[in-house]
Amino acid sequence: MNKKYYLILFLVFLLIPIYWMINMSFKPNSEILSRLTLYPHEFTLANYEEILTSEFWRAGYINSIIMASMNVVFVVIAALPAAYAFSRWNFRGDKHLFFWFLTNRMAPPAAFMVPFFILYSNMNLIDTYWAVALAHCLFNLPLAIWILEGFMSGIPKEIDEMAFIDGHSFTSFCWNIFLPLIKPGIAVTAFLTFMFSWVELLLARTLTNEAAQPITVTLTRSLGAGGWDWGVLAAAGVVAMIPGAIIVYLVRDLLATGFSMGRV
Amino acid sequence: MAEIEVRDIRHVYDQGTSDETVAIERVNLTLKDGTANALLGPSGCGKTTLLQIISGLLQPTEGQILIDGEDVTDKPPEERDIAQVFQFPVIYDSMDVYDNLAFPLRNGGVPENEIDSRVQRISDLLELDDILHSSPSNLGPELNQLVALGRGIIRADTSAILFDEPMTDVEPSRKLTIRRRVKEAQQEFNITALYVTHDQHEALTFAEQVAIMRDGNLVQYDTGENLYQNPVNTFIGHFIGSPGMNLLDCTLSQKNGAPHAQLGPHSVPLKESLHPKLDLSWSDCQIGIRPSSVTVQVANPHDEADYAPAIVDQVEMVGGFQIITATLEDTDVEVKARVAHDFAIEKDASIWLSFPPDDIRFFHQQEAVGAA
Amino acid sequence: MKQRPWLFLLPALLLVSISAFIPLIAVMNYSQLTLLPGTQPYFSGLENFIAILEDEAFRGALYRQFIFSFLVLITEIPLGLGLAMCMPKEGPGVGVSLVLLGIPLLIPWNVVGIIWRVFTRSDIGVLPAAFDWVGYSYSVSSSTADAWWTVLAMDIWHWTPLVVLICYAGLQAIPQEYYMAAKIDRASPWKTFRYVTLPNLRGVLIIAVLLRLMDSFKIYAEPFVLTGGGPGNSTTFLSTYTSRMAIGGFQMGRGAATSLIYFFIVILLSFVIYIVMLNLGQGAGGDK
Repeated sequence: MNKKYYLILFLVFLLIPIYWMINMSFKPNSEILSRLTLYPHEFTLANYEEILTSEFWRAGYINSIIMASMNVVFVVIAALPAAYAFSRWNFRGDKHLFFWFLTNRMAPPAAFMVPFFILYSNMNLIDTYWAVALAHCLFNLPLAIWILEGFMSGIPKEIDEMAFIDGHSFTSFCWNIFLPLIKPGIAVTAFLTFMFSWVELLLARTLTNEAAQPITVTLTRSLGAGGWDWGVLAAAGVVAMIPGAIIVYLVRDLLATGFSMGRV
Repeated sequence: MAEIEVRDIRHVYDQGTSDETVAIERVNLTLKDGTANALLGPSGCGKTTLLQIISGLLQPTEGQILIDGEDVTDKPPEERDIAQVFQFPVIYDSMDVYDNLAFPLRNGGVPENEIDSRVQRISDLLELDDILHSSPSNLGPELNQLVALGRGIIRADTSAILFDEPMTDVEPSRKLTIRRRVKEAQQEFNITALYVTHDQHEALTFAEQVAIMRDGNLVQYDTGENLYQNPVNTFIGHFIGSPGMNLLDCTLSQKNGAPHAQLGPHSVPLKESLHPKLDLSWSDCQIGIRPSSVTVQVANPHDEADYAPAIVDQVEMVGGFQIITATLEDTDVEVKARVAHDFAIEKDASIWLSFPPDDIRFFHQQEAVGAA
Repeated sequence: MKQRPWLFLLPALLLVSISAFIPLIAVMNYSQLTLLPGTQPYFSGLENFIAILEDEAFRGALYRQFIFSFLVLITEIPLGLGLAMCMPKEGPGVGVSLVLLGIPLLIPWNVVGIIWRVFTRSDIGVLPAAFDWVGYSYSVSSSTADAWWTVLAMDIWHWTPLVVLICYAGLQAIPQEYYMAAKIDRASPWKTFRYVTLPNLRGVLIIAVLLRLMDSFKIYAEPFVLTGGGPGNSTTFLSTYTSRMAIGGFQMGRGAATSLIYFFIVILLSFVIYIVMLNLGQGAGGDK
């Protein structure tokens, strides 16, 4: 039972910087820059007001949510059949292909920035949601295939065979039997995909200008514009955390089953 | 090497929560030293729970476990000297077979030369010599299960071994060999064994005495012969044997000064020893008779009084015999009867059935009356 | 029937081709060109590669990258595994812990950098104040050692939760019977860990190690915001170097060549670790 305290200790370590950010977000810049205070002495909501009323910040949020969600949809739709193929059939070169998919995860975004920019300029995708949502597949798709393959391998092939013997068509089998079985796996995959897309900076910055700029980029751009507005930045950081936290909270049971179902 | 006593054990899962389920109502059971026992029952009857309580992996809600008279209820599994073989082979697959067998001994600080001789002895007995230095991940579930068994019995101080449906992963064709080696090991070491299964064939071939559980209660603990011949209630009668005992709803009537079981228009005589124990006013009565005890006549019998006419509904081959399902005329009473494989019979044929009084068991409110 | 697997792989392959394959080809192409602003590109073969391999700054970044990734792996993997073993197995604690562990993963990477930067600022930061109190003068901007371990602490803070989540998933999948058997066999806690937990967790640990290796090689935004790569070049890692090459605008061909070398190193390293871990412990079952 003592080991619980190690976990709590670590969770406290996790929460200190987060507390600090929240703490800062309620302070005016004068307090932030003048002295170290453990809680806001001059409590203010001005930072949040600025974020919630400014078109600049709000657009960043909406863009981020749309792009991350689009990315999740692309990735899950492409990864499901691919993972099914890897988990169910042996075909020529399957192992090599699997590893090749994985290597894409290793591709450094820094290396892909320029080619992405040129390719997507030619496709007229620059500064659209599509550009970022597609580019993020670079690192999310391999991960999704990897995780889903693990979940699917944990489901005996006999289940497929039984379903076909019982007269299910392939679509009906997928929809009524297979997908419900791996729902927790899909939840875990979607969570990780969303997360990695939500927080990515380098590609998002390269591929967007004003119109489709996500929140991560908005945060950096505001850094550049002479002097840091710490309070606003902190408030923006807090708000940037919220969508993800809400998602995690809503699907926590699915995640718990998903994370307990098998080798991720 | 040890007698195990289960005293007033009761177990409730998630007590005090909305998920509260009673797994074991109240069970008393004594396993004699060196005997092979089986714990039989349908899925969810509490048998695995009882097993884990005996091995110490689970703390009972109430009651005690005694080993050789010593109360071990509060002792952890490692201090009970009880081995357990699980449903699927539990193997340390980063070690080879030899190291797997030696593992419990090394943990107990046994010197290496003694370990070596123990491992040799066990591997001889279980015929594992050829694979002692193989990695278990290449061996398949049968051999792995034997290794798991070997690990259980390798300690000289093992007082009992518990099996939790150990044949689940074993291919049907290999079950016989594996079971033989398990049985040999049990006899060789004279270990008290308890074998949990839902397969009565497995239970009856392994064990001298079988305990049958149902809905968290121990229903009967007896030899296979007695379970078959003298079930204490209709559940056991139906559960043991394949097909199970015929259980025919009846009323009691007085005929020629003796109580008879009345199946619609047909009177069935009962054996004399039962007579004083019966009460004509009873309802909810059944007679039980094994399909193998039912006499079948195709031609009109001489003495129609002892026979009831019936129509054959179905004929099946089961294990070298034919099982006839027939409905008694003018009733909806279905009777199964076992006849030789070459007995000439067809569906829809008219036959005559008789029930020898000595083979009839009588049940009132599901309980056997006048059990021997 | 033979085409069926490929049909299933088609969407993934399409997506990969526009998100990875075509850009990769382009990178290969650039890597052999000399692209200077305002001039016509011309083919220069391996010149870019040679120039990079001879570049002190690149070697320095590569060397620091190896050390950093190594430190990340040897702290985050054991720590994550240990913490996963401390997680509750059921009950309300599971959901709470999962949500809390998820939070650092959901913060945009540059915000992570910002948080830690605020934390370590000499005028308003908590860390300098705390160290000052114990009599140590702490400064990210002037002390290489302080910068290093702060970047490392930030990475541990940021990514250990992911390792915990992955290991927790793996732990939950180990059948309880293994632990029961170990108890009956009187195995000590250490032996239980060594012979039950670790072998059963092999597949999951491979995932965790590879993921952390690959991602630590890609680290960019956090140290960039926290230290800007300094003091000096002391926290300049491969990605920082590469993007300086690429966006810096001087030499796109050079940047592309750097990317390829970098990509190649990560693939090679991942492959080696993958093979080694698969074969760790005799009789490895071997997941895909």
